[in-house]
Amino acid sequence: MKCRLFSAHWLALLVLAACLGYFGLLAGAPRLLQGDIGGWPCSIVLALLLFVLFFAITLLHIRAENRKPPA
Amino acid sequence: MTPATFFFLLLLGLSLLLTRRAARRTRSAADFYTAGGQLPAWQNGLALAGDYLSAAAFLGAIGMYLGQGYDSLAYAVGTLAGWPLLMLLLADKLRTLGRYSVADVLALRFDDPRVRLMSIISSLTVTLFYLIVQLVGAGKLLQLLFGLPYLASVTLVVVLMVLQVGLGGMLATSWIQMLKAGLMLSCGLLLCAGVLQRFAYSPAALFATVRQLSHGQALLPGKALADPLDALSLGLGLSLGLLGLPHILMRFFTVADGRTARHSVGWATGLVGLFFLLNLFIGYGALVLVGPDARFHDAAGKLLGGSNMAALHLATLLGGPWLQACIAGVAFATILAVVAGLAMAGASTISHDLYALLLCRGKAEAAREWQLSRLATLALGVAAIVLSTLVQNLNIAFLIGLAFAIAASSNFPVLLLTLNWPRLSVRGALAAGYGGMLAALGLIITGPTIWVGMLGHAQPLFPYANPALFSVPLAFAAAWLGSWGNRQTTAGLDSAPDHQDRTAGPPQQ
Repeated sequence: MKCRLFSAHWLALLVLAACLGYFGLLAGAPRLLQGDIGGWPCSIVLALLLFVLFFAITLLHIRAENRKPPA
Repeated sequence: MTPATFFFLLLLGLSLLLTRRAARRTRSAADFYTAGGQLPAWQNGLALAGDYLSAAAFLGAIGMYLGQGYDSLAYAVGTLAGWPLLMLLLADKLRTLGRYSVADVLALRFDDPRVRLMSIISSLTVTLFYLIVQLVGAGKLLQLLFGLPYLASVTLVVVLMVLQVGLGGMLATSWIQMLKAGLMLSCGLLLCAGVLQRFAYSPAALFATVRQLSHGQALLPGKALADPLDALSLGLGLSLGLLGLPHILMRFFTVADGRTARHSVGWATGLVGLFFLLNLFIGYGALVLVGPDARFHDAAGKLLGGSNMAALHLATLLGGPWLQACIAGVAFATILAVVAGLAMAGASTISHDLYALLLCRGKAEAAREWQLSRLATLALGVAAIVLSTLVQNLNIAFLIGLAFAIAASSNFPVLLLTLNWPRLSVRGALAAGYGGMLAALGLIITGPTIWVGMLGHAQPLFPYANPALFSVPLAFAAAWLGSWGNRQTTAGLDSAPDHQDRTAGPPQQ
């Protein structure tokens, strides 16, 4: 069964929401980004997690489209 | 011969050699516009990354870490978000439906000259603004790096651009983009390794030094990101702007099919992300190594040559004059490649979209169209020299914001709705295109950057520096209003009779 959550439009909404949520957090609650995790500042960890999310979504979509039978 | 001259001449010779080889293989309009349409995914991905990573993404971003700290990383997150969006929303369908340019896709959906004219105006505006900023940056950078006068620097870049695009077309442009992207990544790796070596290869030690030096301020967002609406608008503009840049969109016509287009974006996302990651360490490295070093500052405490020189000073510190010269040479190659990509997009808008699609209604003679594209490259080059010389002493950084805002507010909504919304009418497309463009233009002019910063008024009429949060929804609303009540809506592109690879055939009218 196809999972609609992995459809292109849902994934696009997820990317946009993550990006806008990040900028909203930077402006609205920057103190949440203070502190660090294993010596890495939380603000940098969050940005790098978003890098990983964007790349993972790109790969996920490529893989899903490659598996589709040709039209 | 100084190291800087050696690298400059080496890269100049290499780019001319690639142009010569590409010129021999460019024999038709299809070769000229799309490099034959058969680039493999990894090559097109490398070229896409090269097209996007301008001198601002390298020298500018590292200078921004030095001056504004964390904000530079926030810009990187916003721009990186554009790449998956580009793939998810546009890449596949663009490749399947277009032939040489985005206007082909619009022409397939709307047989209406007004829509083509709107697309041409919007594409040319974005390309020209972007080109002027790149050329002014190029002139100033070459002045700084090699001591050339401004006009000579700009003329040199334009002559090389005209040769590359006019003779070698998209193939030469693609090869030079690949070379430049590879060089940028290699130099980034070198500088990153050099910085981390100073901290026993421990990023945590680097961040601890940054925290100590800046009292933690450089690791948190600055005042420019303090207003929630302005910050959201910046994020939206950075991510959606990419989806409307003509020189990026036309790269999807250089591959064979939608699958390769998707894979290209996968490569580009990985490469751009890797480059931004390297920039993070290089930028903070510059902050802690160059920032406190008196050798790189004048008597007033300002960085020698301005903030854009931070990467070059860091290279001098880490590897001496040879590494500095290597980075300067790569900066030159970067400028040349981005300018060539923009000229390619501008030339194809004039010769294909304006001449072949609009004036000849798709019945232009291929040889004449190709000839015109070379003349268009020359004309664009001359116009860019004149305009960039006229504005060389003004603060024109806002033009990049304007180009991104128009791309996000005009090109992107029209393209997205054309590809996905069957009810979009001609009137709706025109309302979205012109509405988005005028809104972006008006809000930037009345915003703090121009209204207060350049025109000297006390208060801006529009309080935010970034208009995308307002202009993008306005464009979508205009499309909906324009299409509402109009019974003559066109069929969606999925029902077009020729919904398949269009490399070989002419665009449907």
